[in-house]
Amino acid sequence: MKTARTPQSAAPTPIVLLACGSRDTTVLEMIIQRFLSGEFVIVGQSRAEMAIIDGDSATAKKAMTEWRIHRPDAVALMLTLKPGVDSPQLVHFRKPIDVDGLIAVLKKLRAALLNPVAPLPSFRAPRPVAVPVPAATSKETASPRTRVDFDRPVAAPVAAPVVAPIAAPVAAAPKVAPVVAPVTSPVSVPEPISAHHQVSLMDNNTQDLEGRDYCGSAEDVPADLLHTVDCLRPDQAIQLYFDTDTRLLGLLRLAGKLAQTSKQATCIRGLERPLIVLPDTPMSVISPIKDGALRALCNTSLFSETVGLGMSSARHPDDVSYGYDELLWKVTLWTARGRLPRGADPHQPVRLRSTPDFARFTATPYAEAICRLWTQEDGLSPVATAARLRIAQRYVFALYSALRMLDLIETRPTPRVGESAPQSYADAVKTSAPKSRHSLLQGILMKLDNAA
Amino acid sequence: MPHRRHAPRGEAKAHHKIIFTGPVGAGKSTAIAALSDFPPVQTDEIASDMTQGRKVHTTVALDYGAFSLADGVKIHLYGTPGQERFNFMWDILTQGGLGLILLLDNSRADPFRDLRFFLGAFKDFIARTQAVVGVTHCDDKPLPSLPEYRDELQRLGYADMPVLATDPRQHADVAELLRNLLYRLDPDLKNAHA
Repeated sequence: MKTARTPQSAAPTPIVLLACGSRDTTVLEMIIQRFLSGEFVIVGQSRAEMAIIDGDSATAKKAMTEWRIHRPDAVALMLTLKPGVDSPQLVHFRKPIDVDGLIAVLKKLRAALLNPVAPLPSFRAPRPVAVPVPAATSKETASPRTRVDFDRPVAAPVAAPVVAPIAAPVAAAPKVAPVVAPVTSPVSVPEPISAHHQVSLMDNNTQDLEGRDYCGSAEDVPADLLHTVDCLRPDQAIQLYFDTDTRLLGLLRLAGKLAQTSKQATCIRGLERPLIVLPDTPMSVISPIKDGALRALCNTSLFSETVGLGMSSARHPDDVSYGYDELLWKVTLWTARGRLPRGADPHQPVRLRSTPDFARFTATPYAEAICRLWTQEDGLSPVATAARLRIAQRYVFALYSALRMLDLIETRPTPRVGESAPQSYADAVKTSAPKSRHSLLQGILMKLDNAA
Repeated sequence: MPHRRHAPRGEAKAHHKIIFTGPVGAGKSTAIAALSDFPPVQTDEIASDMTQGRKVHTTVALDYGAFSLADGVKIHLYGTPGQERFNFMWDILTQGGLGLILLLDNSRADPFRDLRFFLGAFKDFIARTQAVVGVTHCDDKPLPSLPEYRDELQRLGYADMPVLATDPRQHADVAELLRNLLYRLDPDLKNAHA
């Protein structure tokens, strides 16, 4: 049994990011992957030997408590505006994050972990140097908001590949053939959450349930440019489309189909913990993986060497039960983040086979208004819908993706080239003048002029 | 099962950002300080690697400042890290940005190279929004001149992109850059005294 202070010297130190906003998480993830790839690997909490915690977040205290329950002796690096006193298990790092400083601190922490005899050094990032503001512009002295609010998917707690692979039982399964057993935590720690509790997908207090979490924050793609997006060019396609094949979403759909046709429990293996789709009516999913970790998994590429399907109904003491459709809906939203599934035509008129039950499914912003348009006879395309409702395309694209993954969409032929777009679309574009942006820019100009 | 609705916060709490970019020492931090309502948050550390010899301190993190409009809406000012090795952050930083202010240090060895580099790096963002160029350190090195910059911009396909000589320490200069950016974004804007 390993202890918190004795990681294997050659292996990267497993580290977890806790209570960090999704954008911060992305930046931290990129920093670690780019500059510390051989020294650290981002994992889930159960495998982590070190944690980075955003000390200024609302959930920092809870995250810290859980971390202490989980790994009482392990080191946590707390990113905070107001660093406190360092201790052997808690090192503070001043915000805003200085990348070079953070890299240096992480390297030192790792060195200290690898050498448990030596005491952990005390670190303190230098206080930021603020350039004096000219008196004429110093209108406020209030504390600045220093948190850089990035928005991107959270880190991925995918387990490392281990154990001999077993042939997958699904011949049609693309890119997911080998099956590996889940990795167990190196340290047996009691989970703070009771086992076998049926939870509602809507009731997870640890999740930030704002529309941003389900619809992302992507900018609109101008309607005329949508035609020119080249799906084969990742730099263009990634703005508009997401891929299901290498994501949890693709595996979940595949597992659902397999469970339905074989009438057997189907397991997604190779993740930190397994996900089992049960062929009940209606279908359900059991897994000890909670919402937060599931969300992280949604934005992680799952490689065929590590993740696959298998037949299993082995239960885990911490299993949580999800409705299959509800989970698929939510996983789609987390994966899509306001984008369309690859291959979807944003100009193709949409009509719903049936209206989703928003008492069961997470209602994204404007979901009901969008569904109303799509239940009408002359259904609008996703692009035209966004224009008609004067809302960001991401809200429409996210809902479209979820509906499509649940086969609730009946698509219509795209208008042929040269054929005029439906009147409603033309009207929609015409009436969607960016008045709010005009007033915003006008406001900035007034501010500058008045200052002068 | 409780039914939780999510407020459409995309518009209500939109993150309005103006992005400042440019090479090390061009004055991004100072320009943000000139516009910000409060002392900007920035992390200037002892320069390392490529920045040594250019200035004693340089920004290796992100500059952040902001100012509030009369209606309470906050405009966030972000400065990109000057060193190219942090350019992987730029895509994220520009998400939701209103426009780009590119500051170029005229005293550098080849400011046109910097111009080409940054216009290329932010090509997609500029295509979605607008950009203006502010040339700093013109007192130290007057050439290339502004007409030469305009010629270079024309060659690069940005014939109508404004380029101004700028002292980032002067609020008026930075405000003029931003004003140009605003008019590029919306030519129908009316100034306060119109």
